[in-house]
Amino acid sequence: MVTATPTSARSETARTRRPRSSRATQRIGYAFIAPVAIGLAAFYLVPALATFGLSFAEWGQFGGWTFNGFENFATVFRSDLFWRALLNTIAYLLIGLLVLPIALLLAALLNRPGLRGVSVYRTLYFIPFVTLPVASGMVWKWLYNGEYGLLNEFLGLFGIQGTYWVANPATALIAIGAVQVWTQIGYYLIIFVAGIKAIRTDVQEAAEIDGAGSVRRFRSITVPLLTPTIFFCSVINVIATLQIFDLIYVMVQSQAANPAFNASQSIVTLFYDTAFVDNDKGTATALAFLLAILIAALTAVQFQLQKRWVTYD
Amino acid sequence: MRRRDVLRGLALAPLAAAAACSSGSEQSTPSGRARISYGVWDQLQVPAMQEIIELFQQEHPDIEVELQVTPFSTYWTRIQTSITGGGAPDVFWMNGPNIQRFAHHGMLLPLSGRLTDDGVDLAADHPANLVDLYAYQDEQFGIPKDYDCISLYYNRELFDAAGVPYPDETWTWDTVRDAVPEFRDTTRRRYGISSALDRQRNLYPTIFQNDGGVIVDGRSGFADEATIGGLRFWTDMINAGDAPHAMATADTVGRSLFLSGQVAMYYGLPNDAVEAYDDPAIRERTQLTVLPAGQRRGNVIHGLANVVNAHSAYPDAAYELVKFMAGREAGEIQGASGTILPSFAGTEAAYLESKPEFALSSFVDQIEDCTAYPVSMQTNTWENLQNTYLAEAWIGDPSRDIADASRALATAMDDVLDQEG
Repeated sequence: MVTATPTSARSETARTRRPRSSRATQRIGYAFIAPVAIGLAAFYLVPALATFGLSFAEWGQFGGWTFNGFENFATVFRSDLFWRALLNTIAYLLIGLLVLPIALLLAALLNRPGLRGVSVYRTLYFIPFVTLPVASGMVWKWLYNGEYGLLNEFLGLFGIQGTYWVANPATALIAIGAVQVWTQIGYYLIIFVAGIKAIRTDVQEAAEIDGAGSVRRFRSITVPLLTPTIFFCSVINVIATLQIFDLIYVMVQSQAANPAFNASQSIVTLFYDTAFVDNDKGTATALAFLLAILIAALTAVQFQLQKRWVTYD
Repeated sequence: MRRRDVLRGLALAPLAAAAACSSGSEQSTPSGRARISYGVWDQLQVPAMQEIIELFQQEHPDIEVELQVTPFSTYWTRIQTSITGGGAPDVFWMNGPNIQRFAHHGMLLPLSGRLTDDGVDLAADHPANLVDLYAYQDEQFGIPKDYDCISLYYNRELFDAAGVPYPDETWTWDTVRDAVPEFRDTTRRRYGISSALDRQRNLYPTIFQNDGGVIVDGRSGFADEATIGGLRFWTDMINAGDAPHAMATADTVGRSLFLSGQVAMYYGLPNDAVEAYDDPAIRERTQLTVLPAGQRRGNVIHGLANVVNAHSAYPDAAYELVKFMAGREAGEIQGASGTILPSFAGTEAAYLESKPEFALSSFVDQIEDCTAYPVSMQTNTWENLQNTYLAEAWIGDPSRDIADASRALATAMDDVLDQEG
């Protein structure tokens, strides 16, 4: 009680002084956020809002536009290419989610006590993630090559006849999705390793004393305590795979006519073709806007569902 | 108040940034000289362009030309977004697929009047159908600088090994069909001919050789039996297993297959000769001749043109440059560089001499067989449709008939043509 008096007196004086000092503080605050805020507004917020507005307009070939209501959206929904690209994107999304269990398992293995060279493994897994997707795409295009590819060479050792992985309409999407998973493993691996390290060791030890084996401990302790991390990773991963572009562009679209073009088209590559090849910016902005809605919706659904399976202790 | 200032500042920031970006590229120099820019995309042709510019500046000391090289991948996007704001080059390279769009929207300076006043008859010195390609609604917008058509490249070693006589001007589709199985070697993955889904090198020449058309009276020609017959020349060989299907040529492009000795014959452009010539071993075994004939001889001609930006601050100086570029001296410099085939008649000699071992004259010999590269307002859009619709008939599955794919393409392409209005 006695000690509380000076504190409350101090806060009293602080409150009386507040208007002036906080105004100054605010000013300084604005000054500090200005560089980022201006950049964000000029290069992100304004273009995003403009995109939204202009998705209701027909664009001239050389600039200029006239509002045309929902015409662009009608064009998108009428287009077979859009529905195909939407299905493909969802397929990429499902394949892309495989990265989470794979990364989680690897993270658990890397956390085994007494494992040597952990940092070497972590670096090796992380390298694909820091490699430019375009470079990864180029290398994998060669590995997948139907005539000279190493993959087919390898399969040949077992008497398996390979195919033209990224040119065959039946395999291109899966082949590209696999590369997407491969490039992402390192990122989620690092996050999971950090998450596992944050789990208190006494819990693990107590379980071990109780006779729980390593698989049981992984299932009943590591995974449940890691659910907030897994949730974060799944949100990030869904957003990332919905925007898949570089790998498809490099492996399928950048060179010769490819029979797997439609079978591997994603919403973002369709956006690119509509905007910059067909030069139909109006339909393209509508596509971009629909993709943003799709991302927002799926993220919202995930936030709703997480209440059922994520445990915050 | 304060917050409003901040918001106002934020709102103005992009405008300030935009204003900073679009500061004019052309300033008149104090001495009253005109300073114009010339936009190109091919790095290989830069030395020849520099040489021509120097010569031009000697003749026109009052004009200064600055060369601007933009890679092809961003060239069109850049010009298209900057041209209305006055930021595009005064003179720039134009190609067939884009000419009508630029001309229709008033982005290019009409040249007919000036050419007539100067007594320049383009068709007298340049291939007539190429001159026509750059005319839109009876007005000339571009002046050809170079051209290309297709010749048959063949690998002499593979012909010797297969015991097939070298191809020459007597060859027809039947000769090709008979010869192709002789080269097939499944263990070495060797084929007689590259049958890639490549419109300029493969599809258009055989369509024209079969009296078909790509655009006929403003409609798609792909529903026409003659056009389908031209495409069938390729798909028959693919379905018989005698030529690589589109999955193979998507993984390894036709030119690479030819250069690495996997195919014996390849329909190629003049610039395909550059790589073949650079490697002594490939140079040794490679030769060229005219394309085999179908119903008739046929070929496709395309070439670049120089155009003047309608928003140029110096239209007179810019016109002088494109006129100079259409002349004999500019043609000879381009030819001597060995990079492209100049369109000015009679200046090809230097190009032909640049690779004396190759019969490059086959390109010149076929000019009279040529049909102009087909274009409309939205050329890129329907060109892309060709790949998506025809590809399924190109993967070596005989149950997917080329006639169905081609008719489906015609319907989709007509939709695009209708919207051009």
